[in-house]
Amino acid sequence: VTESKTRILIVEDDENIRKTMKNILQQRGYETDTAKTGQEAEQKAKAKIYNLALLDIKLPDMEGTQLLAKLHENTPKMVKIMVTGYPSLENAMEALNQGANAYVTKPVKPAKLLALIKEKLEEQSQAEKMTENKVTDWIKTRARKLDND
Amino acid sequence: LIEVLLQISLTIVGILFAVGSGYMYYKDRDKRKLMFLLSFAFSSVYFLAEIESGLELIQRFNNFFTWSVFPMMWAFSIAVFSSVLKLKNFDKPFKIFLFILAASIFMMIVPLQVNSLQPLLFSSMSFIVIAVSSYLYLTRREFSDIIFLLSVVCFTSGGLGTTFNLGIPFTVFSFTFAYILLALVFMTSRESERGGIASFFALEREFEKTHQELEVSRDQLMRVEYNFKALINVIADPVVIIDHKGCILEVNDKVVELTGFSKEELVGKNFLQIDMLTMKSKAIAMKSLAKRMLGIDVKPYEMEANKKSGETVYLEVNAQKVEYEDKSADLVVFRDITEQKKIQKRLLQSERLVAIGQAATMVGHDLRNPLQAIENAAYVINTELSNLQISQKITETVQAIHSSVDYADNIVKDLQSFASKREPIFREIDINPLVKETFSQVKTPENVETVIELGELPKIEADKDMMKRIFVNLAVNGIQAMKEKGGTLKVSTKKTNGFIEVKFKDTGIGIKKENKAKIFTPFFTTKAQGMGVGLSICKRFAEIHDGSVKVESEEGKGSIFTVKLPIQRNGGVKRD
Repeated sequence: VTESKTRILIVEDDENIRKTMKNILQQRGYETDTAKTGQEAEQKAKAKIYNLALLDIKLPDMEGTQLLAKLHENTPKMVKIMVTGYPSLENAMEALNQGANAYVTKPVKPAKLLALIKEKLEEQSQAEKMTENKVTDWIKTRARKLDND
Repeated sequence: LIEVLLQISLTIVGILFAVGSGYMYYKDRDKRKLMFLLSFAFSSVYFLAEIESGLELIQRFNNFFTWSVFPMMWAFSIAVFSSVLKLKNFDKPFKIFLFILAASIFMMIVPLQVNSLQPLLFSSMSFIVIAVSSYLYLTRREFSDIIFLLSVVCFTSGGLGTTFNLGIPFTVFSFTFAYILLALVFMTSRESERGGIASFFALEREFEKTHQELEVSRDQLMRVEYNFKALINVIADPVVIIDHKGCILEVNDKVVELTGFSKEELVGKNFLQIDMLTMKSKAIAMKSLAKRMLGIDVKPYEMEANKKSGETVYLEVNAQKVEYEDKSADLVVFRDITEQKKIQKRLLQSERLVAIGQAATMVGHDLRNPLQAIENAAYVINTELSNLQISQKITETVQAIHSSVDYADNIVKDLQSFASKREPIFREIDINPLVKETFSQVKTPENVETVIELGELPKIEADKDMMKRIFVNLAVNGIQAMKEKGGTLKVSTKKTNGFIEVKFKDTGIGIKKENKAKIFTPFFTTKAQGMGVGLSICKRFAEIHDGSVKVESEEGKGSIFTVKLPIQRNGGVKRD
């Protein structure tokens, strides 16, 4: 299995946040793409596989939770972190229900966000490993059964 | 013989008149009638003196007959002079008459040879009376005056008739006419309403009538006044009557009830002397009182007053100029609008807060994005620079960006906590770790030492975020109070009777007395920085938990903020 670079999609309508967030993530060695709108994000997510997406809760063309639901449907394994300027319980609950892996409020400390991203990505890779292991186990048992047969 | 008969009949006429006026006196009890009764009675015998046919008896009593007519002329003169002088009280003239009467009787009894004096006195007085009566008639042109004048003339001519021996018939007719005319004057007096000599006879009766009427109207007035006072006391609003100088004439029970001042403390005093009104209100009240006394209508106005207890009440004042005890006064009706004012104020305040809340939410959100961008930018720069050799200056500068963002973020958070109507989520939590966590979040400057003393606490049901917000705000507050001179922030927790107490004790600048009541009011601040919502949030959040935040403070020495939270919340009911 080739170690592909971790890819992150930033969906954010505020240009300054988009740029600076991109810089931060790139400093850390992540491959980063950005999207201004929900639609752009959808298209990009279809064209490429991203390990993680940072989603703003308010987008010019749709609600962040709407985008979240769509992305969750198409790419359930992608880690989705909601970043919101409207901290409310309703928002948080909805985000988590729609499949968000985490929920942070602006302004979030970059270090904290990076730690969160790292943590979630590790969880993701572990989950992948788990599935890989499971698949391997399954294949092994299957092979053994076949051998026995 | 005929002469004798005429004289006797005239005497009888005189006596009849005396009886007639006696009857009138009996009915009216008027001294005027008494006066004429006496003079009629006296003069009636006068005519007998004319019978000179050698009656020795009459000769012997010549003195008596001569002076008997004297009081009559005096009665005329007293009547006419009283009328001219418009004397209302007849006591003095009557006394004079009695004196004359006594003098006449004296002259009758004492055998002095001064009888020749009588005709002189009689005629001179007659002319004076005629002159005055003529003057009276000419000035007033009253019917009764001319009759009186004629009566006097007839009387005088009768008298002169006897003196100059003009013959018995002349004398008799003169006197008879004089009597009849005088009787006429008496009779017109019955209908007399005004002026004329007739009113002289009628005066007493009129007086009496007027007096009775006065009594009646005084009775009515008293009844009206009584009713007025009763009415004032029945009115549900406080009522004060003040005179044109501002002196309080009357207050009703409601005033006493409202202000706490007793009636004795108010009535008789000028409202300017009483502490009830504030200086400003006194000025307003004085101005409108002056206006009303000038007859200018004043619209209802509002005023601030102090109760005896010092409490402030707001009054709506509605006043009306009235007549009270014959003087123009001001009837002032107050309406206690304190509650109304309070509600209005609260409404205004809450409207203001809602508007602020809405603005805060918007501003809060709009600030979050730029704050995030700044934070990010600073982070990127910091990371880039960390690989290079950079000066201390740059590190410090970048650090300043970070802490400024933190500060701004705190404000935004406060604003949003303030504006948010989020329902608390009650979960069982441990307060002590939360207090510790607070201090890991709050940056303490080097000159501030923190001491944490945690007592053993039971777990309570509370909203963790709200609790944290309370503690952070109180800690930041304490630290800021010691920013200049440094000090110790001591935080302690303990369990008291049914409550958990969290104390934040600082040794900072303290709170000024006059500000103590205001510090929990939203947007009240004495700091150069911040918006003054921090403490108000603490209070609100504590109250959501059925708890409280209290402050003790001494200016210059420091403050203690105590958060009290019930261990068992009881559906919003406070337990002590």
